[in-house]
Amino acid sequence: MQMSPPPPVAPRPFRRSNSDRIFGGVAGGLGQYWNVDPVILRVAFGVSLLFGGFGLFAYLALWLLVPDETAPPGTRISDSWGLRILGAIVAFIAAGIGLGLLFGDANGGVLIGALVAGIVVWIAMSRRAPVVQAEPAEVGYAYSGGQPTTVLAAPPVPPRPRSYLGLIGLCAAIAAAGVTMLITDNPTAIMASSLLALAVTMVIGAFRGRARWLLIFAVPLLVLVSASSQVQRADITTGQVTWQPTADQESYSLSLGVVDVKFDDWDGQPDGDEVDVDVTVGDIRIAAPRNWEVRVVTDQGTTTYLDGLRENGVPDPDGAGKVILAKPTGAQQGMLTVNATTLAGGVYIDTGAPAAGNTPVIAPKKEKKA
Amino acid sequence: MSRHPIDILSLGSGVMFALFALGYLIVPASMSLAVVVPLMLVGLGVFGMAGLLVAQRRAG
Repeated sequence: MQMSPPPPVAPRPFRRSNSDRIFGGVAGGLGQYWNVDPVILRVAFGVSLLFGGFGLFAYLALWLLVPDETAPPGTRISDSWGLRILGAIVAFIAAGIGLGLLFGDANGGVLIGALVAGIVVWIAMSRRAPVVQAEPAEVGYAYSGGQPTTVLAAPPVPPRPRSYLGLIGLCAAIAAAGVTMLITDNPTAIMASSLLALAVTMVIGAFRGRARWLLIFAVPLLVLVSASSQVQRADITTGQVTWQPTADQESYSLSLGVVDVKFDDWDGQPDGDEVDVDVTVGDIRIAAPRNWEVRVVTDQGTTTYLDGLRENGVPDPDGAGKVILAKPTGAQQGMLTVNATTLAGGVYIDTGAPAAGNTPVIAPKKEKKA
Repeated sequence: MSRHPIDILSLGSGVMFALFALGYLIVPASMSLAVVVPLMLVGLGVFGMAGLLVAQRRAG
């Protein structure tokens, strides 16, 4: 009996999925192409929305540029020039945001880098599924009265029936928000009721259907609920403020905004007072006292500038931070330590010396040849 | 609606989100963003890994 050759394997082109789609079928298509669970890609797109809308623009670009499953086999890109141009613009924006996050000063770059690395590792560990062409393949001659027997390749697996559970959960979340609005005007409670509806649907979906993709909504919604809750707490302060520290008060804090710390009235001890300045999100601008040596201690990852120039400082021997030493511009009266902490933002130190970064560069005059 | 194998990721994260939501419904100004977000990420990672391990065992 003649052995059958292995069925031909064709590379699977990347297409937006028509069968596994929530919006444009991009995650479904990528999932089929890489043989990974599209839910993971959807969650990744959802999480990346938090970083400057990178995921949104990347998704839109793929939606505009990549053809769907109905396109002819040779088609690589959308056949509409309008969509191509629009897609290229959106892809350019996505690339700009992505590169800005990766190479900018914001700490979000680390997170989005980790996210991208995680997806790459995941894809590398996944086995790409080959596609068996569904053409008839002659596999041999069985005894059938002398007639050749043609055995067809296995029929394609029918698509799974569409599950409406996730959409029902989404509608329930909207309705829950409406009902809670009638009871209370507390935004945290309103969003929490929606989150509860999504969560219950996900638990039901664990046993009875496919509702994993609700994670796309649940993750940002929980972040919003939590942020709204934090705003309700009394410990939130925002805005642009100016502090003039004195030796009587050791710590100052702001949740969101820009802080100018001016030591005009500084009356501390010469041998080393400490002042804590804590801003959750925002910049800290320190105008150092002119006749004091100021030791500014920041977190290791915080971007710091000394008189207009970026300053990396030296490792803090007492912890994981770094120290930037601002020398006095006049006769030294003493030493002051400022512990400046910001989760997302920079620390700017002005000693009163001419800003090195802003010093105009004067081109040397060319001497005339005699 | 047909019965599916239990989806650990959906089950675990659904319960986790439900607990967070109930907490915020009962006391709206309760848990801090700095606590909730890391807990959520840890939960998603753990339940995702558990789901993958279970799926691998089923496939094997």
